[in-house]
Amino acid sequence: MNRRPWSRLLRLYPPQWRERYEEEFATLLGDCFSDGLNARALWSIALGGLKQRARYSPLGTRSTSAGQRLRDAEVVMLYAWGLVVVAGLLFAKFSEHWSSTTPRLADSTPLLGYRLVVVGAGAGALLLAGAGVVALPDLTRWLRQGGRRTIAGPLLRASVTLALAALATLLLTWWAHHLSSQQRNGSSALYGVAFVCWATVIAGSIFSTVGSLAAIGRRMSWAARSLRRFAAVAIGLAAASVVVTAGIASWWIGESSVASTQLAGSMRASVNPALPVSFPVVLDIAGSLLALALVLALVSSVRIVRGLALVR
Amino acid sequence: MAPRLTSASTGLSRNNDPSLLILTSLAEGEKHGHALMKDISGFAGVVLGPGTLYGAITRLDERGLISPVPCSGRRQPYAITEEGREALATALRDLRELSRVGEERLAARSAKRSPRSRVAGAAS
Repeated sequence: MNRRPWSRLLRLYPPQWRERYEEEFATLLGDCFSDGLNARALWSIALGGLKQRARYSPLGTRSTSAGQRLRDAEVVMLYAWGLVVVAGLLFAKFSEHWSSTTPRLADSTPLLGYRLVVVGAGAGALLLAGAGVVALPDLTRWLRQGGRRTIAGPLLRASVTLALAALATLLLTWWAHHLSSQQRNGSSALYGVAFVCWATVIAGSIFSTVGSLAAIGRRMSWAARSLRRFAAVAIGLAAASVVVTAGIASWWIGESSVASTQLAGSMRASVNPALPVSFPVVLDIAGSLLALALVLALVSSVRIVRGLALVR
Repeated sequence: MAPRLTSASTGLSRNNDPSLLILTSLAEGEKHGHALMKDISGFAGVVLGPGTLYGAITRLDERGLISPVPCSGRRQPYAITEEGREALATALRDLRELSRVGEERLAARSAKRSPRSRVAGAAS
């Protein structure tokens, strides 16, 4: 029996589903399509795989225990915070030297916004460190019980992507030190391309690390007490996301009214004179990421509040 | 002559919810995937795709409405559980109620329209 035509298609299904159903599903396909798959069957298998992927994702509707639903909601918050971090990094790069281009007497609103971003980011970092401390006892127990193999893949992936990001940063920094300020700020097209590539690698490594942490979190078994503490961390991260978003918005609006050259400068803003606020591309991207993060944070918070009552 | 209407041609096909079809099929006894597809095609005229079939089997299995039966071969048979029987009975009761209300309303409408139709027929 030639199983190759559908063995590749079966990779569309999530690993947890394949562990349970792959063998019997492949047998069914062998029974029904020994002469070859038709287009309708191909479509059905592919669509079924994507649906199962969606169901088994943290945002999915798969029927699970209350503890698993709470854990999935917390994982969604982790993804939301990953978006906030990338948006925050974009903002940090965009807003560097902002105070030197802003009149001192008119910088109160942007300054307040900037401080809010710093406070929100700091609170988020502390909360994540706290989550790490909460996770330690369960992680130790999991490893002692032989769970190392289960989480080795995501751990390796996260380590490799972080190492790549560190290497890319070192190379770019080394190059930047050999360039003039003008070359670093637009006159060297090659450096510009390298910078965009570096930023993409950094964003990719952040998302990859978050994905690996989420995979580890979903593969391990957690004590109910840890899940409740993670819930508090997740609600805190949702609040920190709101603070960071409010800060960036305040800075953006304030800066737009008092130092629009900062927004319309080297970052190629699409300034519309009819609008009170200009919309630089980088801040557009950051704003979109933050909007998505806030939606995820809201969904996660609602699910956490609902799930907390059910986890004893 | 107007073409004869069928439930499929009007878009109002018979209930083709895969979960309901699987439960109905398993109500007579345990079956594996291929046997389910053939049985459902026979009694309902619905050909379920393999992805659709196993999507429904996954949902029913997770909800405890069907359960895998221990077997030695590669084909995994499933059986309906007690909860599955109750769920199927409830769904069929709802369908009967829908059918009853629909037929009553159609009959009432036909009864109201028929005298007028007769008058119109006589005037022409």
